[in-house]
Amino acid sequence: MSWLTDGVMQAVLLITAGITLGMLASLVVQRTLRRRRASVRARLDERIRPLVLAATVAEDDETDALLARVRALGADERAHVRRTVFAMLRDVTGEAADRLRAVGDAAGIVPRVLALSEDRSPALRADAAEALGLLQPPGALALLCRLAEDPVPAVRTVAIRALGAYTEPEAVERVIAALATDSGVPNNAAASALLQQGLAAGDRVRLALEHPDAGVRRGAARVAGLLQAPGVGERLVGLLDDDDESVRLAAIRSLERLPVAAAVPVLLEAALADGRDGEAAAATLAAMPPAWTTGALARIEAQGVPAVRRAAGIAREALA
Amino acid sequence: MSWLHDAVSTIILALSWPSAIYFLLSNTAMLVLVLLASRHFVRHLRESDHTGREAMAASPLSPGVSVLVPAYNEAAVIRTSVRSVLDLRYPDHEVIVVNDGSTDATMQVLREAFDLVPDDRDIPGRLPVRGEIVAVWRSRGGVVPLTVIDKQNSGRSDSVNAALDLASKDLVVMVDADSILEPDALLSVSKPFADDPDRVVATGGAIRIVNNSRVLGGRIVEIRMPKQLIARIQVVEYLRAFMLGRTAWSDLQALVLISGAFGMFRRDVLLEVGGLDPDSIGEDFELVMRIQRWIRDGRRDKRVVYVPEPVSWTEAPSTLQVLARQRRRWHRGLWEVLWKYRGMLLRPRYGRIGAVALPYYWLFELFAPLLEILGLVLIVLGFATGALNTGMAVFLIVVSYGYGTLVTLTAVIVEEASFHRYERWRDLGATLWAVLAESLGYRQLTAVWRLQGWWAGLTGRTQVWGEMTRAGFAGTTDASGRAGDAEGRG
Amino acid sequence: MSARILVVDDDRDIRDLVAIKLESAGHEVVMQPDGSQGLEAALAGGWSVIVLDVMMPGMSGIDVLRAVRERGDRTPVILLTARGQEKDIEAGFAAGADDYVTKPFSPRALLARVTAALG
Repeated sequence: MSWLTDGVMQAVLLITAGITLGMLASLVVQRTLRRRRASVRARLDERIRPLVLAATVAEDDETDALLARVRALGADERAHVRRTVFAMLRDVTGEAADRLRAVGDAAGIVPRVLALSEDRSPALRADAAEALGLLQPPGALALLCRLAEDPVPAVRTVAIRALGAYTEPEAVERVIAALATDSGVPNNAAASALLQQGLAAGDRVRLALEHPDAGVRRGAARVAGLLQAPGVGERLVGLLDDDDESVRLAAIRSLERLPVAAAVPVLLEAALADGRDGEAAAATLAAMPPAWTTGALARIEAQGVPAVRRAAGIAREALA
Repeated sequence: MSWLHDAVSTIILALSWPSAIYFLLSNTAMLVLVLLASRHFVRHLRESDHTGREAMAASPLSPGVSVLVPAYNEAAVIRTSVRSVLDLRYPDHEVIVVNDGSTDATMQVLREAFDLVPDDRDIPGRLPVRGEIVAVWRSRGGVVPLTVIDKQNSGRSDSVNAALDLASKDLVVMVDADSILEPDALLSVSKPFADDPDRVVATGGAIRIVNNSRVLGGRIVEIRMPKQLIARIQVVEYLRAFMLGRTAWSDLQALVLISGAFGMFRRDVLLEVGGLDPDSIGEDFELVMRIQRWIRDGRRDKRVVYVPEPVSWTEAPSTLQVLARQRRRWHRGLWEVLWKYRGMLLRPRYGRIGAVALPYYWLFELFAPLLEILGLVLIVLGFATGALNTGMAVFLIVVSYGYGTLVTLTAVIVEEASFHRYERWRDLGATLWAVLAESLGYRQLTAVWRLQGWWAGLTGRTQVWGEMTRAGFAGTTDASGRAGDAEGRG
Repeated sequence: MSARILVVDDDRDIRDLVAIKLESAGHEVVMQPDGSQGLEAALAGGWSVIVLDVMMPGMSGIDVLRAVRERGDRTPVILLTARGQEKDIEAGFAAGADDYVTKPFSPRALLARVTAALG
């Protein structure tokens, strides 16, 4: 312990004290800066917000004057207009949204978003993708299709979600491609976008049910029942003996909303096999028209395990 | 007597260096965890605008969730709490309440408030449930996605198992009837499942301290710093050990503990591993260890993920007496689970769990109170006998308390830069005072309680084993007694 | 025809967007930022229409609606619900709502529904 001299000790204590003071200072500085930013924003908001709100209800003859006022604003104020417009666009549709877009345009939002879409920071590219989806300026579709192939999965995911608002064939194509197992886009996000594209995607959904990639089949199967696309039911039945468990499960659940009589025997088999999809199969059978399922439900009552019987809505034996 | 003096001096000297090294390692390990967590926040906080939560909230494709709510004598709050669970923002969730043999009007309140009718559907019986089921109810015509199981008293874990058996959705989450939930709680913790459905099997979220915040109709309407110092220290403690610590463990893919107050699991996995262990005191820790073992034993490519977003609010103990009971219980639970899974320690097959997480919990959690007390005794005795020169004594204090306080301060800075949830200047002052006070008394007190809990686990195992869980659930009547178990063990 | 309309929503943007549209049509609008204050205002009475957000911290819009109807108050209520929350719509009608609008919403469509509710 000879090295533990007073000198060394003093040094240790001094360093500790220094670090502590530095940390305290950093806390105070962070908080001061944040509060100052917040108050600057609040002051900007007081002036900008009424302007943007007024624009959403402006008559046609008032719009030009409002937009001229926006164009005349300073750089900071226009930046705040952009933020406000962006936040409000999430809340409204229709005419008010068109007005907001015009205000955003006047504040220079489009060139800014276009520039961001090529930024080096993935977070900013993701911002751009989201903004493109909300603003839908001319050329947004092409840009979103490009962002849907961004090297960073998080950016691709935001782009795919934004593409849900577009029904053009290339948009549907990108979204379906994003369903693939190795796309890096969550299957759920891509399937939700496909659902949003709605019946415009109907034909492609039908084809996707037979895609070689299990992720695509799974996503398409989940969406098919909700879309109620014509001619999809039979193909869903075909997926009930798919090799991939998640595809089978998706098909079973989709059939709950899109009943097909031909599915009954396969569903019954699944229900009695009591695999992971047994309960789902029983629930789907219970949701189908009784005329089709009386026999199947009777067999489940006689042979099904309790969990499957419960899913089919069958009473406890002691009570029955 | 000089020989005694010499002997004591020798022992003190011999122990002082190992103690100093232990504290250095322990604090450094915590610092590394805090820094790992801050790296996580730097990477992910920017993305929060794009997490797609809105899209998930609106999508009928989001995975279904069954919310399991065990309730014992909750007549006063059950109506509000069930309603607040039903009102959670989520496109597809059902609620399964278990009335665990309440002696008050819990069951009647439920029946009247939600217009329940008997549910005579079959009961799967996939899990052994000890408490006999008296009846199952559901809302008339299925208007409200609510099922109520009325059963005899058998403790919280067994009640959760009963609910799990009747759950019908792909995901299940366990929630306490008296906890206050964030409206977006289900969206936050189910997101990893939706993003990576084939691999994620369990997730947990941040539990926060509600003391002194304004609560209305089962929701937080204004976040406020607790008034008592003892609760404020726990705010800091939760931040460092639970929120930052678990974020880091999750990133290391070595998360072994998800709070039982809000843990979400894949239902099929939970059924496969057998649900909660009704005999375990640290049942949440025990469950996640069992899942981690199941993952590694089966060489499965699965994940347990922590989401550092607030999901649930709990009342932290505000008296020493209740805090003592909580910490004894936690440490006893920690010991029993670590001992039960000692076979996983340092075994290569268990990867980072065996090589990093478990050694950390053994060394720096389980043994921490022992070393803490030992260090204290060393400093005091060494000083009194003159065996330690001033330098060494100061050095020991610096590496244990000084360094520890700095690590906590780092955690506070990380929170200031990321979430900054207590915005007033006064709150910052309160936080800093709590950081200091944690080292000056709080740590020493908790060390004593933790040792007591450990001792109880070592000695009283055979006698109180089965009863302890029940006592903790049914016997504790004060509100904060249960709250103790909302979070657990760093 | 001018009417007194109560708008309850915890989201400031939505509150303001709804209010300015209704005000532009000549209605008098009062805003409340959460369920409990909304309920207090609603029970004070004198409203022609109430526009209620469903998902609010504290009391939900459905809670407010139930409490209003339990008093025997039949003031027309229009709910604002998130897209995809079908069960909110079911629960809303079960609790006595007259109409609903999903978010993101069209202010014009909302005004049309308010006008219809005013009869």
